[in-house]
Formats: sequence, structure tokens, C-alpha cells
Amino acid sequence: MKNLIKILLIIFVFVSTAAIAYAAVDSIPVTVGVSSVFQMDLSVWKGGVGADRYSLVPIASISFGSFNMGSFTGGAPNVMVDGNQGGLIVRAKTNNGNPWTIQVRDDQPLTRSGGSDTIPNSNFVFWGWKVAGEANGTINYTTAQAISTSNQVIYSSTTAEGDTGDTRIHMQFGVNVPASRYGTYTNNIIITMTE
Amino acid sequence: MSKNITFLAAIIFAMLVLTSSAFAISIGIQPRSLNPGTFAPGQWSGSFPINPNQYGEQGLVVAAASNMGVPWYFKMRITQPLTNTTYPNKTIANSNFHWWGWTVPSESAGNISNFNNGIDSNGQAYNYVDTTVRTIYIAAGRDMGVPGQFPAITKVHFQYGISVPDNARVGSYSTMLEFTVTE
Repeated sequence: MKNLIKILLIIFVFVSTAAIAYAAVDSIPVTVGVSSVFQMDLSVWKGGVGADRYSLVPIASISFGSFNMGSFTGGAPNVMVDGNQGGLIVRAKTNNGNPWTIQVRDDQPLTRSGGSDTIPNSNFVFWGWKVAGEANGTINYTTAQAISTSNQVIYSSTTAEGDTGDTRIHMQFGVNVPASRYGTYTNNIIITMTE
Repeated sequence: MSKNITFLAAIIFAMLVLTSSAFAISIGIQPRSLNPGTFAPGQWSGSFPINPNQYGEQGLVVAAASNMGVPWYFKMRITQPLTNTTYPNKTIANSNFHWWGWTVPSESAGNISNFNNGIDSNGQAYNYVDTTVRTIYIAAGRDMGVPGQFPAITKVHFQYGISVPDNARVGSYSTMLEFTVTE
């Protein structure tokens, strides 16, 4: 009986060792960096009837044209595509994970070239809107709002927009031309994206 | 009875030692880390590692030594998706982390198991890195070695690439790349 147990156990040992699965494991760390993005640009739709009519074209200035005293310039930039107004497109992008805002101001009232005559900021207005699928945050001025040399927040993003691709809002500007000396009036509009 | 138990325990120990010493399989990886750099959202990392390792070999080289005399396999996985070290809920999907491999006739006789998940703009077929263990190489011929003899060394080369998503949050993303050699 004892010998039988020995034999059985020895057989068990052989079977057990034969069933051992041999394996070896090694591992290494992998690290990749993603850089910070915090950017904004200004553009308008290309327009026309081509397939690329909604593509963006950078814009460096806004010209209203010439108007008589007491008239309203209408909204500018004025780019209609398929019955839709594009206006000035503010495209913003960040991956910092924080909510952000778009603010607008001018550096001075519209001022006549070669002179000191001005059109008050109360006559220089702006407004904004968003399009479904382009922005999910809040537009603060959807109707005409007098511009100021102090920043006014026109758009407040959602927190999620701190991680997404392009967010786009649309804006237009207009001038109620007051009784003023003839000439060309200019200033700079400053649009700021900030966390 | 107690003498018998001692005797049997000694036999079991001896058999395990003898069996283990008669067969060997081991694995090594060079280089010892992968750091392709920092990239903007939407950017492609390019292939990495791009420089030869300390032995002048191209790519990530995974080597196995075996005298098992039986077929064996390289398996690969990542322990987790590439994960933002500051914001652990932000990850880069495995489908954005690609691999491809190649062999050199003098270094191996088996075949790489491709999953052909896509082809990049350079015509390079790639596979997704996965948190599931995947068999990526099947040894054959010389790779298996001969029991009792010096183990055969097999090397397989790999490269990787990461397509950083457009919405990837700023930061450093990391994971562990794990290889297993098993019969």
C-alpha cells in the first residue's frame, strides 16, 4: 500500500511539472505630452455659391462704407450664404479644461482721420449670435449694445468647451451716424479670449 | 508515514528544480521607456522610437530567449489607456495609439500577427494598441530552441505612433506597455 502511494505521488509530480506553463513578463513606461492650446482668430465666410462658400477667410478690418448723417450703416461684416448671415466669426479653441469668455471693446471712439472729431461709442453698436453645433455657451448681447473702451463679455463658454475643438460665435457691428463732420472715422476693435 | 511524506516532498522539490533548470524562457525590451515628446491636439506623433537603441537596433526591440523546443508567443497589452496624469478621467483612446512590427530573417523565424486596423497617410498598415492581451508574434523553427542547449535568441522590432485627438486636454499622458512571452 505504501509503495502504491509513492508510485501515485511520483506520477503526480511528473504530470504536474509537465503541465507548468512557462512565461515571462516585462514592461516599460510610455509617456506622451499634449501641449496647451489657447487661441482665437477672426474671419468671415468665403461666400459665393461654391462648395467652399462656408470656408473661413481671415479678416483684418471692417469697412462700413460712406453714409449720410442720421443713417444707420447696417450690420458689418455682411456675408450672406444660403440666406444665412455669417458676420464676423470669432473662432476659439482651448484644451486647458477651463471655461473662458470672449470680450469686446474698442481702443477709442471712432475718430476722424486727420482731426479730433469723434463718433461717440454710444453710436457704435455690436451684437452676437450662435449657431447650433458651433457653440453651447451663452451669448450676452443678442441685440445692439453700445461698444465701450472697457471690455464687455459677449460670450461665456461652457466648461466642456474648455476641451473641445473650435467654438464659433458670430458678431456684427453697426454705426448710427450722428451729425458729424464729413470724413473717414476709424478706431480699433479689440476682441479678447480669456480664462 | 512521516518519513514517506518527507521523502515525497523532497522528490517534488527536486523534480521542480530539475524541470525548471532544463527549460528556460525569458524576455527583454530595449529601450526601457518610450517618450515621443509633446504634441498639439490633432497632431500625429510620427513613428517612435525613431533613433536606434543602445545596440544600434531600429525600433523597440523585444527579445526572447528560449530552449523550450516548443512554440511560444509574444503577447502585448497596455495596462490602461494613455491617461492624463493630472486629470485621470482624461484619456487618449486606444484607437489613437498604433503599432506595427517587423522581423529580420537572421533574428527570427516566426510571424507577426497583424490586425490591420488601418493604413496611415504614408501607406503604413497599423494595429491598435489594446488593454486586452493580444498575441502579436508566433515563434517558429529556430525561435523555439532545443531543450538542454543554450537558448535561442529571438528579436522582433516594433514602432508606435499616437494620433493626438483634437479635444485632448493639455498635460502628460502615460501608460505601461507590457510584453509577455509564453508557450
